[in-house]
Amino acid sequence: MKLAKISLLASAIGFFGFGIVLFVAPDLIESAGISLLDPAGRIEIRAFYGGLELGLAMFFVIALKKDWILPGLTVQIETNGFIVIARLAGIIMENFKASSATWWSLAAEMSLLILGVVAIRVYKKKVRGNEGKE
Amino acid sequence: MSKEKWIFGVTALGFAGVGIAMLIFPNLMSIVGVKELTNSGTVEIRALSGGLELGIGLFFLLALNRPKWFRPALVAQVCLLGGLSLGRILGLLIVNWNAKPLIYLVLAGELMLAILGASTLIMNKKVKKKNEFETKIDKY
Repeated sequence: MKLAKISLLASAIGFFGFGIVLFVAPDLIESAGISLLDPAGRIEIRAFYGGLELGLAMFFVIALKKDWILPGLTVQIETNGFIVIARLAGIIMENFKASSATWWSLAAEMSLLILGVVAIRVYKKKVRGNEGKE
Repeated sequence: MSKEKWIFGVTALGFAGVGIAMLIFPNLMSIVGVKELTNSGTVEIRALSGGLELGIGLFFLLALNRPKWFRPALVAQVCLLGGLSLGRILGLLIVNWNAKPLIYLVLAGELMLAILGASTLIMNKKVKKKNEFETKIDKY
């Protein structure tokens, strides 16, 4: 349970940090090699990279408070899992020509994915153990 | 089919559809004024606009067949689509509501799903309270 909560908290902090920065300053996305062509671009980054990630962080905090461990960890694993797969596929398609920021992002997302997978396995084992005792 | 299943089905389709499109054609983002300049930019769009949306879509697809997850999934829906809508509305405010019709169309869809999720959550809570009240009366 403790590891599961640490895992959810780590996800909440990660998504909150990234989300709040791009919500306040969407132009910072240009450091990741993305250009904003017009005001619509700024709206999109604020909504998608800012609002959506802040919403995800909020969900992880609520999941922590309400003890929604399984749905919370599932969201953590699925979101980080697909980000990692898509980032790896993208890096391969671009012939490994990526900036150091891309590799650092991949490392952070992979860490959250592994933490989530370990946490859900430990949690399920504990639940099964408790059921066995009863 | 229950109301929740319909809501999760539409949300899953929306997220997964956009996610798959962005994974295969990251340059589609130029429709909304975002363009990849470098290889890293393309990787970033594929990872976040593609991968993240696909992951979220899959969660709602899983929630469809897990009645115990209905409440967490409805809360997730309100948080995610509410966050998206708020970000878009704030962005529109900053540019004096001067944006392409497509942005308004996307906002309408996001707002509709956020409100639908919130109203279902409130209604379910009311039904639960009513059932608890009736059970108490029956006991007396």
